Parts: sequence; C-alpha cells; structure tokens
Amino acid sequence: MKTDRIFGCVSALLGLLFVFLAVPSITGDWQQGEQARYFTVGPRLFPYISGVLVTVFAVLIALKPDGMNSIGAFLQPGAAKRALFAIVLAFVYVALLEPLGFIIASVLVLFAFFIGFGERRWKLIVPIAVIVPIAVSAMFSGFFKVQLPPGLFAISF
Amino acid sequence: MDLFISAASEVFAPANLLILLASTVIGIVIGAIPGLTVTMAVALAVPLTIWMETTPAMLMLLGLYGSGIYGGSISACLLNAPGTPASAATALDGYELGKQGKALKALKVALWASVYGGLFSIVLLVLIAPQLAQVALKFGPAEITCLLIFALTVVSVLSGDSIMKGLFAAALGMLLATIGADPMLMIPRFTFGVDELFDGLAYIPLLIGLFAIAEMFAQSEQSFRFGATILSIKDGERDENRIYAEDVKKCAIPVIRSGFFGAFIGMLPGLGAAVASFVGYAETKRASKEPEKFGKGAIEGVAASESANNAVTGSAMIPMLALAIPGDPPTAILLSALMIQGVTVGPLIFANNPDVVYMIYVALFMALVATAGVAAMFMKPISHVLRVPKVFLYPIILSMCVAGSYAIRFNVFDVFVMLGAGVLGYVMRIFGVPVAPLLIAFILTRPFEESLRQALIRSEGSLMVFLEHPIALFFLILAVAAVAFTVWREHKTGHRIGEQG
Repeated sequence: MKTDRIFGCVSALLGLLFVFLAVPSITGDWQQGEQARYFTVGPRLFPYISGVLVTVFAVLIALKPDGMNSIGAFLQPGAAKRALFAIVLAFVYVALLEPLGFIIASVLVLFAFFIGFGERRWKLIVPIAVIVPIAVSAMFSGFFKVQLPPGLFAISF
Repeated sequence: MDLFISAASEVFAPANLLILLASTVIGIVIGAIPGLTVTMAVALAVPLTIWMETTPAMLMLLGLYGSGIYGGSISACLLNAPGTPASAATALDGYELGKQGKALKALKVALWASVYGGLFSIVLLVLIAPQLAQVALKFGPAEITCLLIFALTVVSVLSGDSIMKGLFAAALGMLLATIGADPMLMIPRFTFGVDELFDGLAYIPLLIGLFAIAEMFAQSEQSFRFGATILSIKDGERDENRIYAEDVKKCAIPVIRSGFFGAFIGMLPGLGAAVASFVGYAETKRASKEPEKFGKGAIEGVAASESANNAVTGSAMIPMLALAIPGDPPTAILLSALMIQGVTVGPLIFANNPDVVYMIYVALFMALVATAGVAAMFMKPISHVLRVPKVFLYPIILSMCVAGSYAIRFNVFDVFVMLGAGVLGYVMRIFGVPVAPLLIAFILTRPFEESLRQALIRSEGSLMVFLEHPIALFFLILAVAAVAFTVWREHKTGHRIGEQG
C-alpha cells in the first residue's frame, strides 16, 4: 500500500511539473490563426490533456492504493543489486557502441554479463561471447545490408 | 478469388515458405521458454523486417505470432511454468498429466486444440473484418475520436489488475506520443533541440525496450535462474500417450466452445490470449460433469485452454485491420510493422491494399499449418530447449535488441531510447502498472489527436459535437459502461476477499 502511495505521489508531482512547466514551453505561430479570426486548436491541447490525465490517475493511485505490485521480489536480498548491474551494463554497452564498434563492445559486454551473473563454464561462455556478436553483425550486414557501428574493428561481411 | 490465388502464390514462393518455416520454429522455441514471450519474439523481429518486402515481412511476424502461443504449452506441460501468459491455464492440467507420464498426450491435444482455435479465428477474420471496415468508412472525426476513447478506455481498464494503473499507463503512453512535431502544424514539442526527437520516439526501440529489455532486467533479479523440475516427454508409456476416440469425444465440445469464447475475447481490445484461456478453462470446468478432476490432469482442461488462447490470434486482427485498433501487444507490434511497410491500416486497407489483406489471411493460415507440422514432427527435440540456461539467452537477446534498434535510423540515440523504455517498463512492472495500455495508447495517440482536433475545429471548439453524433455518443456510453462495469467488478471482488478475511 505504502509503495503505491509513494509511486502515486511521485508520478503526480512529475505530472504537475509537465503540465505547468513543460507544456507552456511549446511555442509557435499557431496563435496567428486566432488573430486572423478563424478557430484553430493548437499543439498544446493534447499534451495538456495527457499531462492532466497522468496527474489525476497518479493522485487516484496514491489515494486508493491496491497493493498489487512486484516490489517484494525487487526487495529480496541481492535482487535490486543484480537488476542494477544489468541496467548499468546495458547502458555501458550502448555508450561503447560507437567508440569500440558493435563487435568489440558486444564481446566485452557479453563476457561481463556471463561473469557478473555467476557463469563460470569457460568452454561455453568464451565461444558464445565471441561468436554471437560476429554472427549478429554478419546477419545484419549480409542479409539486410546494414552496417552496424564498426568502431576500432572495421569488419564488413 | 483472384486476390486469394495471387496471395497464395506469393506466400508459396520457396523463399517465403522458408522464412515462414524458420519463424515458426523460432516462435515455438521462444514461446516454450518461460520468460521469453510471443510479444518479445515479434518485437525483436520487427527491425529485421524493415528491409524486407511486405509478404516475407508479414510471414515472419505472423509465423512467430501464430506459433509462439502454442510454444507456451510445451513448458506449461513439462515445467509447470507457462512459456507465455496465454498458457497459464494449460499448466493447471498439462503438468499434472506430465507427472502421470502423459506429457506427450497433453501436448498432442494442446496442438490439435490450438489448430482448431486458430482456424476458427481465421474464418471469423475473413468474414467479419471487411464488414466492420465498411461500417467504419462512414465515420467522421467525431466518431473516430469517440471510438478511440472507447478503445483506449477498454484497453486500460481490462489490461491489468488495477483500473487506475491501467488508465495511468494509457495516459503516460499518450504523453510520450506527444514528443516530436505536432501532427497538424508541425510545431516541435518537447524536442529540446534534439533533431532525432523531431519525428517523435521511434516505435520499434520503444516496444523492444518495453517488452524485451524490461523482461531481461526483471529476470536478472533472480540471476536468470528457474528452479523447477523439468519433465521429459519420454517418461510415459507409449499406449498412455495415444489419443483415443474417447479423448476426442471428451474434448470436442470444450474445444468448440472455448474457440468461440477465445475468438470473442480476441475481438475486444485489451483482454488478449491469457484472459481467453482462463475463460475457456473455467467455462469447461463449470460445464463438466466431473469438475473435481480439473487441476488433477483433465485432458479437456488442456484442450479448452489451448483452443481459447489460439482463437485470439486471428480475431485480435479484426479490429486491427478494420479499425487500426490493436487488441493486444502483438497486434500493436504487427500494426507498427505494417506502418513501416507503408501500408495504412484501417477501413481503407480493404480498398487500397486488398492484396496485403488477403496475404495476411493466407499467411495466418499457413502459419497454423506450419505450427502443426513443425510441432508434430519436432515436439521432442524442441522440448529440450527448456534445458538451455537463460543466462545464455538474454545477453544474446540484448545484442539483437541493440543491433535492431540501431539499424532503424542508424543512430545510437534510438538505442538509448530502447534502454530508457526498458527501464521504464521494468519500473512499471515493479509498481504493478501494466505495459500494454502504454504501448497501445502510444500507437493510437496520433490518429486520436488528429481526429480530436479536426472535430473541434469543425465545431469551433464545441464539445457538443461528440454528443450530437449518434455513433460517437454510442461509443462514449460504451466507454463509460466499461469503466463502470470494471469498477463494480473490482468492488465486488474486494468485498468477497474482505468477507473471506
């Protein structure tokens, strides 16, 4: 229940910020239409509607929590740490994509992934970490003619 | 008839059949692995279809969609964990049959019930979709606005366990869809000077993030481990695993009845295959003379659940094709894949792209045939995939997701959007907020905004326009009724739980 209240309050706050700060920042010359005396509906209407709806439903979640969530699994010992590791690793992967290239970044990240999640069967993880990125890159460049970021290791198939 | 023949000749081209066969095998395998869902399979495949012709692209996606739901029954029967949520009801009796050494029999019955359910829904699709499109052609902006309000409301209130969280998710999807140029005046909104945001958030990275990456983060909490006993197909006696006339007699009525329920539920936005399978199962149990046998290995329980969940596949495409309203996440992804192919889905598709419509009919049918063929021949080897540790699968999926998201517009920005959507989807899951309404609202927001603004401009800002048009008013009443019914149902369930202490 408490979790839903916190979620609702934080979401409502973000919704209010969106309605009062973000939506008014939309600027353009559509108001000239009004000056020319014909009716028009500007680009702010829909963001206003969606922002207000987000806020209203977030407030209702906070006021009438149902307690249906998966926070219990998330708060189990080590679960949050493992999920955070996966999230950080995924962001590092994408950050390395252009400087190192798809293949090298993928090999490093796949390897880190296996080690980080306790896999120690070297005869399996080393070939998978190397072959999968090469195969994915070959599939995209060979079948779909899409060059993934080559980075340091510019291989084309 | 000419259109059917021409569609069939395209589908039967050797290269296309090969794509269909491969996607069917992959669909069954992905469907069979708990944690990898049909939605994820279809989402992952969409980036690959960008450079394909429409026919092979749709064959690939429909092959995955059609076969994935059946795949879920394999792990339901052998692992007591449904590969897809749609097979949750199958596990109730399927796993019990497996423990009695009748896993192969359960899987055979599941297969033939799935084929019936799928076939029935395709027939309904062919019969109903063009008629519905004819009606929809008469809709103006006010009617379209109210239809979309109805669809969004139904999707929101029926998708998850909580009405408010479903409505919140849909509102969030609408909010995210307002990023980018405004659809009528092209005035940038929330782009913060980032050129990549001018066209809005790209569909594909968003849906890959919400369904595949979020699932990976959720599975990482338990280090991708699953501690259940895996049964083997080989465990039972050969005679016990044969289907006898008595079994056919027992299952025939439940299969037909559940197919009907599944097809009806599939046509309604927001419910999907999981609800269909439980309704089919519950109705079969209610109508049975031996309800006490359910949950202890009743073969008709497996048949009812599988017929119902597969009957959703074709019928969920009725509102998608005729009204451009996706009923569930896989059809939302199929809709965006068709948009990428340059096909405008909606009532005009029957006039402008009848070839695509007929190709979809034939492709769905062929996907069903391929599922039956592949499953009947390779059921045993496919069941071995349950033993592959998921810690090996998810990093491979991650690299496919990264490559697929990058390849859409050749920029890393989209890959970050995918990760952002993944984190959002994961956080939503933690707080019990359903993801499906967000995706469907995101897809429907553009036509919703256009029709709403057109209607308001025509009426010079008067909201009466939505009450003066009878069809528009009808949809508004339906939307209010859907919310009222769900609130009443939640209230009643709450009381019952309260009474039981």
